[in-house]
Amino acid sequence: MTPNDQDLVGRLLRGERPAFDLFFNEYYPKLYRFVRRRMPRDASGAEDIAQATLCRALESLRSYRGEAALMTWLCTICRREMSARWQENRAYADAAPLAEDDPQIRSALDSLLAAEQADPLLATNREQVRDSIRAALDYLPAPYADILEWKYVREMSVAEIAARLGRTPKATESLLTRAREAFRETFALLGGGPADGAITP
Amino acid sequence: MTRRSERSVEQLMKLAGEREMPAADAMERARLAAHDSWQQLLQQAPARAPRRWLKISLGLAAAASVTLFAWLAFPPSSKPVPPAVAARVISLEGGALSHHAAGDTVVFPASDVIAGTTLETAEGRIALTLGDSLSLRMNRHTRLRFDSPAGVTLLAGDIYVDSGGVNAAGRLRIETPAGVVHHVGTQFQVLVAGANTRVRVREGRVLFTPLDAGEPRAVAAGDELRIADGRTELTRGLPSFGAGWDWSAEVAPPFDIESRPLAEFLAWTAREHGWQIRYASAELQQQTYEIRLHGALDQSNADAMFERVSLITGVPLQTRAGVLWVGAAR
Repeated sequence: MTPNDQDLVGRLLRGERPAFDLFFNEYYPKLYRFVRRRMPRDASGAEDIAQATLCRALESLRSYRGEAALMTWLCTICRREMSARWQENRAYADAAPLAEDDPQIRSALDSLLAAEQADPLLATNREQVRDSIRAALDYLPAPYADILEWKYVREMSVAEIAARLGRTPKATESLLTRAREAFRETFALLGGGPADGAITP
Repeated sequence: MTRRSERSVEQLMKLAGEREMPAADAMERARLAAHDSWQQLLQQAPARAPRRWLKISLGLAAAASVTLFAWLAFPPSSKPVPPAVAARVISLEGGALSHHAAGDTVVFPASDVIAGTTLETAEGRIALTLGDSLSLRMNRHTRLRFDSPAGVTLLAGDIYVDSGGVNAAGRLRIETPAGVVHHVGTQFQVLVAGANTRVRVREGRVLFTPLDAGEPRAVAAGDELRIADGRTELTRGLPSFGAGWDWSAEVAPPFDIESRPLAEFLAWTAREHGWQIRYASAELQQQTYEIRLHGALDQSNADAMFERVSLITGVPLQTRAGVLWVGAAR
């Protein structure tokens, strides 16, 4: 458990509304994507399970002992929810094994290097890499995933990101460096291999 | 981190694209459900720690009795005091950030703004409600702190306030670097840009009290008061419509047209844009109360919206020089 997790849980238990907003805005989308990667054909089912997970987690928040990060604890509850739904509805049986559950993503990266766009196997691998990247982003602390997305996907400048965060460009640059480092480590942990040089052209 | 590894992170991020978000309505449902669960948790007393038998000396017993007396005299509050909700986000165009003691979060529609929070728009705009009827909108590049349901501090940028009518009960105090603005049931804008503050009134009246506690100054409909370096300049007779006001209409929460009379829709639109309404005849005016609208309407573009409403109702609509003509324009 990080000091931030500890702090957030403490504030939730004290009934602080901003902590609830922070908790919900941070973890509901992450849990939704966590389920969605395992149930790619059922967006509304993913929404329901993510909601049920958050409700269950909040009801039993006092049982959170902090042995694991808050996200890990939530994912454990989420897996139980998914399993229960699976018992009820065989339609969820199409849940595919994922890189973050079975880290074999390195081979996908190797395939990416081959750059054979038309190969259906490669297309599958590319999708797996995407899943790993998205999973890595969801395991990062709150602002890191946002600023990486703003910088590299939306192509916002450092000055624009700084304005959005209310920080100086220098502080934002430093935050970006930490975000890249955290992403690189998390992506490697999920079996994506080292992000430095993984898919160099 | 080397340039090469930075480039790799960039490539991976581009490969992943934007993260998928749950649908807005699902998110709102989940927020309400999670909030209920959280409230249930807070209402439950925490489990007691296992009882331990201790040897209590006379001294400790005396200390305990003093503590008991203090507890009886000043009982601790049994429940956490819920934080005050200062405003509620109604609609959002683009993104915005919320800065509060718990950290920075992204602003979502239908979320509460707790007192002490500062909202910051970059390229986004926000429409909020304060209390029962007061509508407040934040333009792009605006920072506004919500001190309480009756008071905000405009740190930078441009806000628009609509109390819902001249006789509405809501009161709002707006602090600016130059002084305090009190409204008296009205529609108005306050803008702060560096050392300059500007108050512009569309309807009703506001009172501006300078920072040096000088005499409050009334600013009436059509007036614009500029304050820079302690000097004030009043301009009168300004129009209640036009480019300077249009941004607030663009971010206005949509009007639900389902089963509503055309007359209500026209009145709402005219108020949002600062237009006057002119009917071609009394008969046509009467008809607009009888014609009911149905379905949904894209309200982001006034001209396209009028074209569609005209097509559906058969009532010609046209705007010219701040007047909404209903029927043939004169």
